[in-house]
Amino acid sequence: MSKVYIAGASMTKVDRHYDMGINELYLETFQGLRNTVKEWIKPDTLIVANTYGEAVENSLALGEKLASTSSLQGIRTFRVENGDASGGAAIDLAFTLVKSGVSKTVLVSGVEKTSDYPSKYMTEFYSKTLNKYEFYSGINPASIAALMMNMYMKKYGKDSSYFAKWPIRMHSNAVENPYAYLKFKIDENTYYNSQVISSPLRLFDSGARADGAASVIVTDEENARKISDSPIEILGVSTSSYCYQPELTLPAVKDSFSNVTNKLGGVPKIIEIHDSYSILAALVLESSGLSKYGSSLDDIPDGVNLSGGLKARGYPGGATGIYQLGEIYMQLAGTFPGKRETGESGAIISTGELGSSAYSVVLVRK
Amino acid sequence: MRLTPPILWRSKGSFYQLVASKCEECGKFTFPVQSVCMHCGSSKVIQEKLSGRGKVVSFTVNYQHRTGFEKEMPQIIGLIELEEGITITAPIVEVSPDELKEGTEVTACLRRARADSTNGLIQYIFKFRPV
Repeated sequence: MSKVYIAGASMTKVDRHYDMGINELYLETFQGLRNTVKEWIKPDTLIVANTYGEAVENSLALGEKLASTSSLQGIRTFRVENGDASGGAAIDLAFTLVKSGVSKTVLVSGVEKTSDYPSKYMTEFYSKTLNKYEFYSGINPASIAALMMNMYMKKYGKDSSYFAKWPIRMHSNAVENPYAYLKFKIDENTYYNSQVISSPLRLFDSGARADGAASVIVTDEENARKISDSPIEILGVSTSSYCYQPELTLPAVKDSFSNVTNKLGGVPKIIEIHDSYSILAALVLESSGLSKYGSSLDDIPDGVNLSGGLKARGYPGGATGIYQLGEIYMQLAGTFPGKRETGESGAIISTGELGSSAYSVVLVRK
Repeated sequence: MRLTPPILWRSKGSFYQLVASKCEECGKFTFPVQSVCMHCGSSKVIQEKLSGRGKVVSFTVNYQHRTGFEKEMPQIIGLIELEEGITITAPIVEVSPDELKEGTEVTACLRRARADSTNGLIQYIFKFRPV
């Protein structure tokens, strides 16, 4: 079994890219990779993480289309869709292909467009991850997150000021990240002046959905040394999936993160988590064991979401997990252009919007 | 939004009658109805019409609308514990947010969900209202 490495990463600024479609966003990161690697090796596999391609650009078969767009003819291609956990799922697939020896070098690209349509149209699509009854009765994910927030406040005796701590930290982190969508600081007043989406959940409790693309090269040891002077090893990927239940633990996060950190023998300090809502940030921190139940947002660990997270770096749907992986790779390689922490290991937790699927990944510098 | 008769017809148990799957092995309910128990994996499940009576565990007032649901705004979405012990997330109607409280007893009622603007097909679904 081969060791698996990341040998390069490239990403666009998360933003409302009205002048760019899926092709252009992908190509920007593709060219970015080609311009930064020591030696370009044509990947034998392209995996595209994308959730809303048919909704926003009436486009299917993105694997073969983006391979052709970038002149990667004759290779194995996939498009991976698992809601907003598509990025994590694509990483899992890439890791498995290289680990097993089926592939030597995989280009994993996450790309998403969500800004071209009114939010009511996109909310319709985001709601398709809910069960059939919930979808057809008009419910959206934000309302379910709001119900979780209510349950949390009641169980632990918190008020909404507790949840304001998350976006305040995320916006502070994002200020230094050139790839971030919302590069400005906020305070409690900003939080309380933001509109209520679904009571008590506010706009500033919500990840900022926007367009973006990120690409990473996942490869074996032989090619990793050719492509980069400082490849970072992917020590493991662990995946778990449960049907959503209205509870205050996320069993998929708990299973997958404990499995993958057991391989490391400890918990990394530098971590990117999926904070689609402030309440989800709290539940991910607590279910993963990074924080205690009921007090995670009182004392947010320093190395969490240095990018600004979904809240402020931005939330490019199925591409989010690839951003997270690129950010941790850059942190460990010492090339992340935003807020940095030093460490020998890092992790990501890529989940769906409500945390029912989780992909945990641990990276180590060796 | 495109609604098609076959999808609504196939879902009539869940959408119109509040039918759930009851597992004969572990005794737990799964909703929407399906032929395998979500909890223990048993295929020994029967379909059972739920009473439709329950109480509000929690609720939210939603302002983020979806295509076709504009006239529903603001919309109350509740977490409802039914008499059978199953908890579901569903719209609550015929009450203002100021009047609704946790613990309020509710009952299922069939109401309009939305219409397909292309072919005029109207979709109905059960919601809940205070007793």
